[in-house]
Amino acid sequence: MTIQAFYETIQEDYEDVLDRFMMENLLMKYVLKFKDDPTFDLLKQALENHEIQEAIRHSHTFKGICDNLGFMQLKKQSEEMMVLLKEGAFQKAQNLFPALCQEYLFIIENIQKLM
Amino acid sequence: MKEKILIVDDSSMNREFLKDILCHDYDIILAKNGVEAISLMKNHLSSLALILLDLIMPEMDGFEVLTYMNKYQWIHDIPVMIISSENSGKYIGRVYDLGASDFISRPFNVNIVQKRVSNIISLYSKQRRLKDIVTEQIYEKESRSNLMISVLSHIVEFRNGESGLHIIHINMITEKLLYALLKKDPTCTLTAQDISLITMASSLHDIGKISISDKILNKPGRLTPEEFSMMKTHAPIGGDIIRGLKWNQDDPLLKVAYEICRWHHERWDGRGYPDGLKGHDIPLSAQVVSLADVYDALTSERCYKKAIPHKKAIQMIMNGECGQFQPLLLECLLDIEEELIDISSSSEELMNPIKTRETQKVVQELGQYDDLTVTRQVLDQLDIEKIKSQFFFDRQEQLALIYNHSLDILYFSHNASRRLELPEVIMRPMERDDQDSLKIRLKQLVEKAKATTIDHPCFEHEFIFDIDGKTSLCHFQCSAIWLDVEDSRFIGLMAFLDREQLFDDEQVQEVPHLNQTQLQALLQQSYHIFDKVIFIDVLLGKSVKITDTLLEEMTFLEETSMWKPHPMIMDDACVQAYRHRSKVIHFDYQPQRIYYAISQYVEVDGKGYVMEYKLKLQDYIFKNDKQYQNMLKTLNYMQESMYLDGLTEVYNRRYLEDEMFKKEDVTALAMVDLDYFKEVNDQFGHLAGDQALQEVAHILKKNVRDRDAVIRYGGDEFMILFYHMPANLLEERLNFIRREVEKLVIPDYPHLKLTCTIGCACGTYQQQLLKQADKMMYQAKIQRNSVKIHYGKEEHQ
Repeated sequence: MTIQAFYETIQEDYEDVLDRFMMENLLMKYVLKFKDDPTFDLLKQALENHEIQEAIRHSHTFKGICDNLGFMQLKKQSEEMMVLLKEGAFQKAQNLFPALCQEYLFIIENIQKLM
Repeated sequence: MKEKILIVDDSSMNREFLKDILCHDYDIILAKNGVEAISLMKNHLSSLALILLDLIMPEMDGFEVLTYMNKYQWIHDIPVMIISSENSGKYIGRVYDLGASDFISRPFNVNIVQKRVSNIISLYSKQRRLKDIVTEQIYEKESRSNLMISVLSHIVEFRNGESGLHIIHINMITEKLLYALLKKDPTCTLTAQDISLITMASSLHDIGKISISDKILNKPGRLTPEEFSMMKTHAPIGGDIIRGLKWNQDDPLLKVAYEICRWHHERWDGRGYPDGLKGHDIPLSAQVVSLADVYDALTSERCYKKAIPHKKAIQMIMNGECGQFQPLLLECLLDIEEELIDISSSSEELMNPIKTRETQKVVQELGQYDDLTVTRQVLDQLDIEKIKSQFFFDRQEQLALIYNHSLDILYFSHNASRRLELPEVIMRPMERDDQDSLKIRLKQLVEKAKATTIDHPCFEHEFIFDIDGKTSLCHFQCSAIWLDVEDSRFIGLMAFLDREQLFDDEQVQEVPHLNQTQLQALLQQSYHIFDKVIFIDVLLGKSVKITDTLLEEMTFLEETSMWKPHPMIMDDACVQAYRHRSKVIHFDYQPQRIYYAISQYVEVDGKGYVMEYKLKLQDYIFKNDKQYQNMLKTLNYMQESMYLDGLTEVYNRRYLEDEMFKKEDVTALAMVDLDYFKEVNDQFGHLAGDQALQEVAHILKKNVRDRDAVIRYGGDEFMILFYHMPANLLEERLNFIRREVEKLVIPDYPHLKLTCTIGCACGTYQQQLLKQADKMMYQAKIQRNSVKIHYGKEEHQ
């Protein structure tokens, strides 16, 4: 699968991302890196352990990473979660996690096809 | 060389990404939180071209980093670009307020990031280059003129046979007069810079004297008219020298120097030389320096005259005996009278700090001149100093530390960090918990350092540290760091370890580890070599007979042999070898024989014992048997009379005096006094009394541990020294002894009944122990047959 096909599969805007990255191989490198980035797991762990401050920080970082790679759906979900966490609505935030997780796994699955 | 950029972000993906897009054009260093960033900044202060800073991070976030950079003014020298997906206006406004140069929000656009980074860096480097140029010029000019002035003025001093003090005096008086004038005359337009310039140039006032011959300059008597007219030429010649310098003649320093050299002998009424200028035609600089010169010449000793006292000198000047001066300046002279006395009475040594102060003032003025708070030059110099000190600091064999109090950072040298098992840099130790052991020690050091002064910053301090995992008493040489001469500011302290002492100062020796079979073999061999081999279980105070089942068959060392007639050597060597897990070599003498003995600590199946090998000293060492016997007798006698009480065979008072105060591990001292003992003597006779004392001594010895010492203190008084005695066991043990004495029956005198009273004190301060125990004994005496113990604070009965 090409990187363009990948973005089409996950229904994100390839042109916009490439525009920012300028080079396809640079984009490719970081999309592949996304698979190994620990932020998602850290966020999951923080939610499980009710560590609210940690969860806020990791959701923030995760949002930034997704934003950068143009995973807008994931970015939106993690941003919503971060806002809820900051408001102190921990339970609501936690309820968002399954959907976030699903989207994340979907992307990871497709990244594996890239390799 | 590539410019250096510091990237601070807690997400490794973000760090890598920024590095990837910037590393072609820049040197990149990375930090994953604020604390790391600050410590990297310190090391690259002058080489960092830009910092890319994330806002939300663990440990120390972006805002804190900015605040920190503001506190130390780094923000003026290193541009900071914030990178964050947090793009609310509130955040952006705050980071700009904190001095950030730019803000880039996510998602990144590679092109935009690269462009903005390069823009900021080139902008700042232009500004930096400009600063460099300005600073360098100022610096060069200052150093050149200062150097020249000091060279020239010293030549004059040298030829004049004047002390260096004259120049310093002139400098100081000139400056003081000018400030007094500034205060007095509202129309005066002098600036601080003018004053510093005139003061500097005043050093050159007599430069023309280098053309006057030694004979005239240093003539002790009065000058002839011809000589005097020769002398007068020094003023115009001085002016010519300045004019002749291949320097830019518009330089304000040269202008002032010329005025001073040429006209510092002009007088207000026009009767001075060389030009006979009058009143305000004489430049103010020359007027002030001439007045200063006259005053100092009068009050100093010269080859042709004695020093004139201050009061008389002022009087002479006021009376016009040294020519007329501007009346306003004379008023100024009177205004600064008190300071003048200080100046003329102070020695050269005292002048030095003032010189430094002068330099500082120049530096301060320079600072205002160009508003360069931290210039590049200074930063570079700092870097050099830092590299130098880092080198010595890290190579320091001993443990060394530096604590910066204003930044609250503690640095350890490599060795210190390794040996103390602490990190090399500890941020904000003072914000730790009050119980934190490092903080407690640091606080002690800081308090001691703050008690010092800028002139005497050194002090010594001792505290306990775990070094190499062992607790040691460490002695440090320390110095406080103070800044500024006038209102000294405490910056921090530095210290290095110069003595350390392990608490148990045992030397690590190799301990033989054996199993039973090996032990048997060793013993077999030893029997061939030594006359006696004894295997001792020190804790039980028993010798162990070696059989197949080692631990079962034990024979008690005869109790008496532990105590008499040669208790100490046996006891000491054995116990010492055991306690220090080492080897002790000593002489051991039995009534009939002298042995050369080795007490060696060994471990058999993991348990510690002492093996004593003894070798008989052969008779042939001595000329004949008689001599040998004499020797033995003498030794025995000496031993006994030295430290043993003849009657009771416990230690005597001499032992107490010699030994007790040497041993620091005596933790309790008991005085045992027999009740109504005088009556025992009266009723049953002295023989009975002696026997009673012997029995009591025996009870005491039997009921204390081997390491404790029983002493006959005098008459019917005994003393027990307890080594490392747990306080809670003490009372029970002493009461046990008391009851034992009460139960004592002496077969020859069945009606003789004894009781004793015991006073005891716990603690480690030995002199105090004796007094306290004595006091307790007298309190207990009220009841008799009782025990009273002083535990330091409370008393128990």
